[in-house]
Amino acid sequence: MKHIKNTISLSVLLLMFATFVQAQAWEIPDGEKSKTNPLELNAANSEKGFEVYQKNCKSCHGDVGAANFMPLVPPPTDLGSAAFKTANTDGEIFYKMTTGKGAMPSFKAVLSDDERWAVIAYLRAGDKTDATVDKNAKLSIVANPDDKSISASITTKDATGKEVKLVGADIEISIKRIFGNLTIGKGKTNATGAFSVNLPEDLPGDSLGKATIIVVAKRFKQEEKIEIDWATPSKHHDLTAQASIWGTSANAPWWIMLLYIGIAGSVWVVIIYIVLQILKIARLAKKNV
Amino acid sequence: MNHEALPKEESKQLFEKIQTDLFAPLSKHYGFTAWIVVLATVLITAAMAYFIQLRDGLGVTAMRDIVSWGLYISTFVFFVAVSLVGMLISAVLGLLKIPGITPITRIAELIAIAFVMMAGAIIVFDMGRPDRLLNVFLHGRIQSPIVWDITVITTYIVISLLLLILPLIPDMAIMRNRFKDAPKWQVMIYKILSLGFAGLPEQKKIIYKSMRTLSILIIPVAFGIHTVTSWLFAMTLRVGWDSTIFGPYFVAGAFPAGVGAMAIALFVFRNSYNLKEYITEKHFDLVGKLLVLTSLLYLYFNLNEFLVPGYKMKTADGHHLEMLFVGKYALLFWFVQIFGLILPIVLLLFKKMRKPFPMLIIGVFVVIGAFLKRFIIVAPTLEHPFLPVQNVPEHFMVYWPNGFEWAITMGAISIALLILTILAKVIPIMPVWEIALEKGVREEELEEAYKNN
Amino acid sequence: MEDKKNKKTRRDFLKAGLAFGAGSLAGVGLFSTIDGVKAETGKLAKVLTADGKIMEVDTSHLKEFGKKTEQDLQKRGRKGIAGRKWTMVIDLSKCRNARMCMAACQSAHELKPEQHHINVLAMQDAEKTAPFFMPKPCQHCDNPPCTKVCPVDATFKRSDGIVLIDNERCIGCRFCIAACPYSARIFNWSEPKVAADDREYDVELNVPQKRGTVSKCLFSADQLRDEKMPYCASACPNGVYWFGDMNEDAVTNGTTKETVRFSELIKNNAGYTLLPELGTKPSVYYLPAKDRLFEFNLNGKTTLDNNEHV
Repeated sequence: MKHIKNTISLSVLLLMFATFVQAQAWEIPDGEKSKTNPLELNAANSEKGFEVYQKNCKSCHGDVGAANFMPLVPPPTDLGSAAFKTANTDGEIFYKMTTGKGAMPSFKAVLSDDERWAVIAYLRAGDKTDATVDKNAKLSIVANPDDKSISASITTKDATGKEVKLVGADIEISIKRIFGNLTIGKGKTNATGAFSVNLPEDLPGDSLGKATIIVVAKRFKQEEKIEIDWATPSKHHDLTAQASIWGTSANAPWWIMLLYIGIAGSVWVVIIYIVLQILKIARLAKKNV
Repeated sequence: MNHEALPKEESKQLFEKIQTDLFAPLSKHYGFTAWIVVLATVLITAAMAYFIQLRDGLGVTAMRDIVSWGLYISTFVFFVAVSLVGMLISAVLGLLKIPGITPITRIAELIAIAFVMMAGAIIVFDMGRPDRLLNVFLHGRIQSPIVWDITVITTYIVISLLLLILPLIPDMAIMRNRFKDAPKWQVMIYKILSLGFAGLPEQKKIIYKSMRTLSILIIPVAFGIHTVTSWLFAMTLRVGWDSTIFGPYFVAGAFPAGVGAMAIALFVFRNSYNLKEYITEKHFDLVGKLLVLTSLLYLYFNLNEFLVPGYKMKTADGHHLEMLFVGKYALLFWFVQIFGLILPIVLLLFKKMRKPFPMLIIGVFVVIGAFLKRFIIVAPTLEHPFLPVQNVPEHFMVYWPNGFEWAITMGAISIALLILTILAKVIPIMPVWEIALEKGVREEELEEAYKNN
Repeated sequence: MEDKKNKKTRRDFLKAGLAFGAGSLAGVGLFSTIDGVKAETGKLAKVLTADGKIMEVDTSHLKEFGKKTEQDLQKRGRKGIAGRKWTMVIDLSKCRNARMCMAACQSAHELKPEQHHINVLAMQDAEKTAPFFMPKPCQHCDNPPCTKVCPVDATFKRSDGIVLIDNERCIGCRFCIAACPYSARIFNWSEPKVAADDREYDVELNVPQKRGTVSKCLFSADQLRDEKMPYCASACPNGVYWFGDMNEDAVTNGTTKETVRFSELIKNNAGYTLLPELGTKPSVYYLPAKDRLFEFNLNGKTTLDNNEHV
């Protein structure tokens, strides 16, 4: 009971302290405050910002607007909240990312100026980019073993209901790895409505050369997979298959067995011979009687 | 080594006197009980300590994750070192035909057997799971130096036992015939151990030949036991152990340790068994010279082991050596080097110092030095790993053995001494027949004594 | 050959049928399968065979279906996960000594506060060099000094590169602790934090811990079995850990889940291994503490004293 009481009072204290720390104003020089985002607030910048956000900010701040940030003390801010966005100018957000404070790291050395501004572009744009999803869009993949290429295209229907290929659509092609997907190519569909990449020769599939290729067209909320069997087969070098000093006793090198058995064996042969000789003393005595 | 045979009557008297002198300790017990009580007290304390260690785990010792080998392992190395004396005296000196060593060969064998047996035992005291000892035999891994060590220790014990038993056979035959009135079980033991030896020429030939073979065989095995023991350390990558000369360094270090123990044992047996006529000042002189010779060899290896890395002071080596030379282990290190090695060499150059009493004192210093030396081979290295020791309690970072470890170690030493005491009580401390022959007792006198009737 | 195969399939089918029967008819409520080693209890349970017959089987032959026995766990645990070669990349520029990795590890492996499978060290290579935090798990060496010296095959390296310890075999000689130059191994000097009860011992988790045996980092082999990342890597809030299969040439960040090529990550960031001069060939790689996310700060100190980092 006393323990619980202590815990509670400690938590309350901590909370008070946390609010105190939080309440301390993050002093930002006026010159910094008034800076504006040099990047245009367009879909491309917002998307770039989204990627930077996913890799660098999400682990603490959670998804924008979802308030699913890490339970830290003091708690990280939900960067999608209206409160945050209205209370901070672009310059202020930029300054905070640049310098860091307390548990918030400084991204000055980690992210370029452009990358930091892109995050702000993303925060300002919110989810607007996803507002228009083409319901007729259809993603298709062609995997060509001859030149080891993967080609993706998106079709949609025009006003007349005729199928047309989309030009300039964003596509990301990746290969499935055990804990996640590894991007092998990213770009826009060309004039013929296709985006293609070559699977690098040195990027292995499984031991049989099989691999799963994933193609994503995020703007169209489309994802397709294709299995290929012409990736470079991965080579597994099973170290435990060979004899070694560090291996199990079943994998002992022959020379160490030879040494051990040879040395110990020859000594023990002599010992056994001597023991037999000693027993012979007794035998001789009996014979004599 | 037959001397000029004495006249018949004289020979008979001499043989009788030798027998009386050498068999006397078997029935007379000067201070024997007191000595046993002392050993038993230590043993009981150790047994209680070990019981608690078994019940609560190795956590009762001062060892922790950083220094995970401590006093037990260093005592193990010390025991192995002391046991080398058996090989040195009975094999090397015997084969070299150094005159007059017969009276001290059996003492050397007894020391060897008692200590090498306890070396095996103390490893078990150090195990976290002694209940799984059988795993070593069920799942033994031939690449592990521990498996080699177990093999070579077992082999050394067996060869030493055989080297003890062989020259004992004629003695047992003499005792079988002499002590017919002894209690039945005693007579029985003499009978069995004498193997019906009756002094037949073929029997004698077997004994001589087997002893010679074993004397040769024990030399490589003894080198093996010290070399393999050194490999328990040298086969790791640790600073202070990762050394190519560790094998010969350990062999060389074992010589003075064993000879020092020999000096002490000679003094004790000479006085308590009243054997001044047999263990003479000449023997102390010989042992003293041996100690100088072996210590010089060890000094040479020490020079190599410390001067070479000390000259270069590589990062990790440097920290280790600083700790030994001027740091927290400096006192121990310099005590060992000066009182356990350099001073004995200098003092023993003087003939006066090779007399019994000075030899006892020097022997004690050499043995204590040898014991501490093993400790500073084991602990300082572990105390200083390659990566910093952090986020563990303060007592993980330093090591000094606690009461449990001292009690159990003392217990192991007292068991070794107990084995030595009891063996020296039930069998003559010297090979009676060899002494008799050496002193000129006529062959037929011995033939008569062997006769199985 | 063909015949043999058929037979096997038929037997497996029968087993599955029995399992189904035990579950539905005997009212055990659990799926069970046959296990022929236990002593018979004399109690019979009705089971349904594949061809629809109802048969009676001694209850001792029933085993919870899907539950692994200790033998199963040992067998697969000693073998390793086929075709994999696990690797970890630790980005020192991201570490700020948050110690979430240590906490997650200690809780998963039931370790006491002073026992570390992974330990975040404050390092400084020389007097004038910059200090940094360095998480140090077992390096899972390809030339492991520890498994070399084990006298009973209690510690061993698997086909997927992981070095494990079998605390059912370990005799507690601590030779492996002496042999490890990375001080990666710990010993259960007294009763473990959570006592060994009748839980099945999983060699891939080394739980329950046992007194008198060695314990060490296992690259969370039990997690990898389920295609999940190690406890430490998933717990890190700062993106320090990358983990993956070297055969796939890819590692995934435990925090951001971003997947990159292992070879490129190492090449572009001048990755290195710890104490390479010892020839242990670690499976753990480090990225130097350049362009840091956080300034070094250890209880307010921004540099270490001479005696603190040796």
